[in-house]
Amino acid sequence: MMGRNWRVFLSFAVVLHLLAVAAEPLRFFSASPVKFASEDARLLRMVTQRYSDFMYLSHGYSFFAPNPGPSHLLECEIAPNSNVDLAAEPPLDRPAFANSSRELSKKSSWRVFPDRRQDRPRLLYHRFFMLSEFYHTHFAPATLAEQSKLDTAIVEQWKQDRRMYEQLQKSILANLEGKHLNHEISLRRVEHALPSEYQIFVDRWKMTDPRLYLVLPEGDASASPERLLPP
Amino acid sequence: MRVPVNRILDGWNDFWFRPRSASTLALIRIATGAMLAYVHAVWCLRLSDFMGHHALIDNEHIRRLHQNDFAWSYLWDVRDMPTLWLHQGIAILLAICLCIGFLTRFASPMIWFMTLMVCHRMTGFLFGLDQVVMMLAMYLILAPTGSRWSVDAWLSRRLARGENSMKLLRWLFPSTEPSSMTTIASRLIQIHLCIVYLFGGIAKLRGEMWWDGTAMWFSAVAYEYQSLDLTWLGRYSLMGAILSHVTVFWETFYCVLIWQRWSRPYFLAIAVAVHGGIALFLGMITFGMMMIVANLVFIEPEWIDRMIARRRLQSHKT
Repeated sequence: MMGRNWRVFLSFAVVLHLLAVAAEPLRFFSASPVKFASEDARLLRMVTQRYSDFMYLSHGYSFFAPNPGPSHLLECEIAPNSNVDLAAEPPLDRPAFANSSRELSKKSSWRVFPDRRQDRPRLLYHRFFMLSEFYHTHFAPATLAEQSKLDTAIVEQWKQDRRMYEQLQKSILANLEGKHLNHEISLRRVEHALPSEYQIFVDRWKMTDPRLYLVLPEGDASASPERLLPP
Repeated sequence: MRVPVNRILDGWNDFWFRPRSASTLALIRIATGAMLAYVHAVWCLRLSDFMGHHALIDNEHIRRLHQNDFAWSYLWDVRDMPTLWLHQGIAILLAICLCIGFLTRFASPMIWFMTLMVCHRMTGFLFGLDQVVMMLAMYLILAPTGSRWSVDAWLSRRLARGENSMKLLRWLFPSTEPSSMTTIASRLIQIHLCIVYLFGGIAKLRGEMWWDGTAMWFSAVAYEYQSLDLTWLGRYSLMGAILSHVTVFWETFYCVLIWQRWSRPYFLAIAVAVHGGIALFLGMITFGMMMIVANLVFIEPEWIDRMIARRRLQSHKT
């Protein structure tokens, strides 16, 4: 066994390290709508943050929790500018859930993140799936609800979040525009709701039934999503 | 009063520092190295979408995302693709070195650091796989994992070893002797894994679907995850409810019952079933596999050594 001094030093090191590992999930779980974290969790997180952030230890560890929820896709419509020769355009490739109830341009092509057919192997698909979820998580509405505008803290937070969201949007658009010159690209967040047992077994819906896909609004967060096909 | 304090100290020393064989960690090293090579290779499939100035999340935005934390990556400043290709090429080579155990003492910290830099660059594309692979890669640095089933072990046997051999050589090509650093690395993985499961379980306890037994159904019909059809589960709602409850119970109490000798085999079996299920049905083959690999840390190295010795004996007899 190693010497006493080494043992004492390593004992302190492992305890501090494990505190750093537990600090972020503790902060995450002690957060509430009115508080960033409980005081003790906040203090522990503050002490260990530099270390745990750099060491990639700041995770919440909540897989499929608290409940399994709907998936979020990122739909990119790639429409040629008016001066583009349409005959030279790539063939129309609408997402599986697109349907006649929406005004989809026949000239457009599509890229959906993630795409099972295109994004292979599975790990690559999952990377793009995480991107679409990340994009959705960072969404901040274009306008605030009237009630929220009365709270300056909410307004300040919203301004920050909105700026970040717009910059993320800009970054994704720049990447796609680099691949599709002379095209206009628009992004939409699409939510894929989880079907109930009744819908699958009695109503005979498929999991890709267009009725399960909702285009989420970009404006006021309280606006209702656009259903792709009326149920 | 002295007796309990001494007993606690003895227990502490025994838990953290009693030397153990590196067999278990060597197995974990092989799997982690292979997975790291695969992860870096997959980044390369669309490298310009993931890294560089024109990536889907560009360098400027990554910087902004991390403006309030202490993450940092040199990849935030790399704009040209040849450098990024070179970076990924080196990372894949180092990961292969870790897998085969070639110059493990160097390869292990270097691939961990390069992957860490990639993780801080790839915010927005990461998930549980990256967390578990980084966890294992980090702790493997501490232990002499190249001492078993590795090119290092082969080289070690070739090179003259003994008291007179250079200290550097002894460090570079460690012997198969049990080591305290192996124990520390193993304990850290074990406790880290317990923390992951504990908070995973607590998070589920907050959700009503894990209580009303429908969580398994709603996980199964998340089409974007699904890799094999599990909708038949809906015809057996009793089974779905039992699976939901077993998952929550197992995850929450893992941190206690995995340490008990009597319950460990059952908890490991459930871990294989749960993560195997995630790998097969929910499309996260890589994540499911690595969680099973992480669970190997609860298998005593002596047990692995005994199994191998028994196999060798059998093959000699035949």
